[in-house]
Amino acid sequence: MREKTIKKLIRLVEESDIDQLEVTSWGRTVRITRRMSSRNGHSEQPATIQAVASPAPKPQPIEPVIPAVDSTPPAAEKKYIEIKSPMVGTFYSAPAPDAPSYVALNQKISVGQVVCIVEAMKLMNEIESEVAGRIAKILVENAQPVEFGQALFLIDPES
Amino acid sequence: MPVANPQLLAEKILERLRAKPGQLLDPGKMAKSLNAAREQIIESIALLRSWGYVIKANHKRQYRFIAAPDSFISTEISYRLRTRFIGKRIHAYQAVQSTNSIASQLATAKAPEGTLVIAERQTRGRGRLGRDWYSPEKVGLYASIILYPKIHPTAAPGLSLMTAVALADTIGSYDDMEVKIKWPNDVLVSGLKVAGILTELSAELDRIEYVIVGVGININQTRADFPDALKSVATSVRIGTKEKIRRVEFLQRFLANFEKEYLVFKKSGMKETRRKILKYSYLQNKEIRLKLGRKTVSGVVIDIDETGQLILDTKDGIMAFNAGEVTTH
Repeated sequence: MREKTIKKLIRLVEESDIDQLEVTSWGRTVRITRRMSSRNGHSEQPATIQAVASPAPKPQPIEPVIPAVDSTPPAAEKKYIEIKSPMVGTFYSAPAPDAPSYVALNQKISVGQVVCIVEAMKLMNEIESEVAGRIAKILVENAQPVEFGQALFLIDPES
Repeated sequence: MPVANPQLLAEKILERLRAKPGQLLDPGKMAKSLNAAREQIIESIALLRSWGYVIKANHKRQYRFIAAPDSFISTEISYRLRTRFIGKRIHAYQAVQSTNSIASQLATAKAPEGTLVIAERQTRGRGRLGRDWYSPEKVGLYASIILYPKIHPTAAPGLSLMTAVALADTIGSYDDMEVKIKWPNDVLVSGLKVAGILTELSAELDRIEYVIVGVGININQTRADFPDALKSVATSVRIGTKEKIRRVEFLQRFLANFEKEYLVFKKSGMKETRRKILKYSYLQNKEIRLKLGRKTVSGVVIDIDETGQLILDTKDGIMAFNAGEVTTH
C-alpha cells in the first residue's frame, strides 16, 4: 500500500470517532489504531499505524513506517521551548554508537549547542539549540524515527 | 601593465603552452603578448615547475609543455573544467583533518555555492556516525562541495542520493565498470565499496542554511594498498579498470556530472534522481538485514520511494526506512 494511501487512512481515522480501522489490499493488511495513552499527560493522540502481516500479526522489531506524531506540548509545560526536527529522519542522541550522548536530562545548554543528530539517507543534520537553558525533557529515544516538526526536546529557557 | 598576480600569469602561460601539443614558445614573444616582463615569464615557468608541471626548454630557450601533475592543485583542477559553478572556487590542501569540517567553516563564512574543498590526505576522514574513512595520500580523492539549495530541509536527503548517481555515472564512464549503488549512497564496483558519501545539513525548521556534500573515493589503490580490515570490502577504480586513473580528470568528470544532477534535482526533485537510483540499485529484490540502533529487521527490498526511503517487505508488513545499516546475506 502506498504511503499516500496510508496517510489518507490515518486522516480518516483521526477525523472520525472510530478507534480502529483495518484495511486489506493485495494481501497486505494495514491496521490503524487510535492510541488512548496518557503519555505526556495526553488523553488522546493521533492515530498510529501498524503494518500487519497477513494472517497473524506479530510484534514489530522496529517502529512502523509512520510513527505517531505529536509535537503539541501539554498545557502544563507551556513555558518550555521545543527543539523540533527540520526533517523526517532517524534521531541519534550521540555522535557515534559508543560515544556519550550530546546532552543529558537536566543538563544546561547554550545557544548553538548541538543536542542531537537527525539522519535521513545518510544526510546528517546536527540539531542545535536556538536558546540557552536546561534540558527539561528528552522526547525521543536513540535510533527512533522522527517526523518533520516533531518535538525532540523540551528546553526550560534561562530567564 | 604587467599581470600582477603570479599565479594568474603562470596559468595564462600554461594555457598557451598546452594549446597545441608539442608547440614551442619563446619567452620574449610570450612576454610581449601577455604584457609582462621576460623575467616574469621565466619566473612563472619556475613556479609552474614547482607545482609539478614538466616543462622543457630547448637550446634556443624555447619552452615546451611535457606533462601535468596528477595532483589536486587549483590550477590543474580548473584547467578546462566544464562546469558553471561547481568547483569554480577551490580550496586545495596537502592534508586536513576532514574536508567536510573545513567546508562547514567556509559555508558559515558564506563561501560561494559550488566551492570545492579538496585534500591529498585526510587525517581524520569521517564516515557516518563517527566512523573513519581511510584516506591515504596520492591515491584517493577526498573532497567536499558547498551548496545552498533553496529547497525545504525535508527534501535535502535527496542530495545524498543525487550525489551517488553523479559518482556512479562518473565511475561508469570508465571502461569495464559494473557500478551499483547500495542504498542509500554507497557506490560499489563488483560488489565492493569504491566510494562513500557523507552529506551534512545545517538548517532551520523551514530553511536550509547550507549543505556540505563530502565524498571519499578510492581511485588508484591496488589490492595490496588496502589494510587487511578493508581488503574484503573495499575496491578502487583502478582495480576495476586495471589501469592507473588520472585523478584530476576523474574529479573534473565528477564535478560536471554533479552539477548536472544537482540542477536536475533542483528542477524536478527526486523524480529523475529516483529513476537512476533504481537503475543502479544493488539491493533491489535482495533479502537483507537492516540494523538501526540496537534493532534489526529482515526483509526483501522492493523499492526506493519518492523521498529516497528503502521499502522493505518484512514478515510484519511493508516498512519504509530512512536510515540503518544494510547487510546482504
